Amino acid sequence: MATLDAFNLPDELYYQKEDHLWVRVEGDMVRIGLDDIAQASAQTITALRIKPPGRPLAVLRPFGTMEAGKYVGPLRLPVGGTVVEVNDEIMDNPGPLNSDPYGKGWIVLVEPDNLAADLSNLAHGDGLQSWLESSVADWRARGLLKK
Amino acid sequence: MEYYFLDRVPWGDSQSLYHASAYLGREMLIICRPATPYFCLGCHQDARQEIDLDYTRQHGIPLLRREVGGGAVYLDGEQLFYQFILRKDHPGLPASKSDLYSMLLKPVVETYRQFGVAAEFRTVNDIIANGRKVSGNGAAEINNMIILVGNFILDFNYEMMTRVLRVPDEKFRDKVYKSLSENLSTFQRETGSVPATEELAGDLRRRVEALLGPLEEKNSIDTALRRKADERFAEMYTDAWLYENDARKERHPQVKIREGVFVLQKVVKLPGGLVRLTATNQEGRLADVHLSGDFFIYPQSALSSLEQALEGTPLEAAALTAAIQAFYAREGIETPGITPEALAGVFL
Repeated sequence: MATLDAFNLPDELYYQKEDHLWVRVEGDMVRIGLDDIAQASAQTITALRIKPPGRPLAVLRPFGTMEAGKYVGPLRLPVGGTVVEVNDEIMDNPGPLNSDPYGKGWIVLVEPDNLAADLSNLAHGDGLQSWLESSVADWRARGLLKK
Repeated sequence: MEYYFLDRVPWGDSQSLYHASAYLGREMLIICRPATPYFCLGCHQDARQEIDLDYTRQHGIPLLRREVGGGAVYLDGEQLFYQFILRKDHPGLPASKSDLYSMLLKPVVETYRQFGVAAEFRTVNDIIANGRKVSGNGAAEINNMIILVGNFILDFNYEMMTRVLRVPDEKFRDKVYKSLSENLSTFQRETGSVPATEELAGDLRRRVEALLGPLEEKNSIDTALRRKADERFAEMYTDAWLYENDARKERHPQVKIREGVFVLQKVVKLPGGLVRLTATNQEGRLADVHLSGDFFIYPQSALSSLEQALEGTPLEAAALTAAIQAFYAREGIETPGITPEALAGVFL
């Protein structure tokens, strides 16, 4: 586990570098959520909306929107594919996005189109700790995380 | 960056033009106001949860759900909208949303002050004067463009805003009206008059130019913008879009008045009977507490004293339980089937 201050990045996950979404490979599927940096930056997430499952989306295409502080931002797919399941629990109560981002706060389950290629663009394995440290420093410098 | 001062526009244009600008990737400042009233929902709100749809239908008030955050608002020609649409990589534009609000609302605050309103920015996105909200603001990222929209509230129809909201009963509506009146103000209330919209727009334009650089004044809407705005409106002014969020479970009604002030109502069935609560959550503390229901309290006269005793109590389990227990002990209160802990839970 890569760790810095209150931020944790579990080793087994892959991370989209710009938006900080995590990807967990589960057989032929991938589960997706926000990592610790994204949820801390957003602060209290009040709502989200996910496009209906079943439509193929290219990598980095928006699959939904998320709201915090009256600001609505896009959620972009870190892995291209088709959303097959949406976490309905967080539609009613988005709290776990902040409180349990790697567990109950998962957002969608996706059937990927080209998993190996998409995973190769994500942060994972060796270097995760240094990537966490540089990401936190960068987001703090840009005002995206509290110092 | 383009600049449009359109003043009165068809109500749909007051939403569709800025959405179109984002989808076209064109940077703009649009200043306008709707020629006729409508109700506007936040991106993630549920129309059936928020709005008295029978009332809006009977009175011909249109409803639209925007792609920008925030809550349900009644909008009319007594509000002058400013709509910033900027590229996400616009030089100097901060990445953090709180810094974005702070930066883009600075000229708005200055314009308010120029016209005699003692306005101040209040994080994250409110503009306050004498403790009351005088401008509502929301933001979004669409197509790598940042949108920030808000309004100069010249005057406000508190009755209509309150009437259109979906509330459990009239007592709750009265609370919302009272709280809204106390916490939302206008140019009219602050200064006794309403400035000309041309003057407000001109002042804001100068301040925005000082912040973001020269604006290119446009006198009419070109074909590409018109076509995209019509296309957006055709997609958004549909039942499919309006009710997209509605398949959700019933939630506890809580109407946000301004940052930190909510009117809340709870109905909870306890072993000793049904407890109805209406109150205001004022910066995390209780105000205007009203309890009713079919439970028994001895002596009966103690109910209003209990309501009084809870004024100002923090909305936290321990504090509420302690306050209720202390009141019960002091006054010799009994509520069969309802413990102080359970009663405290009604508020949370």
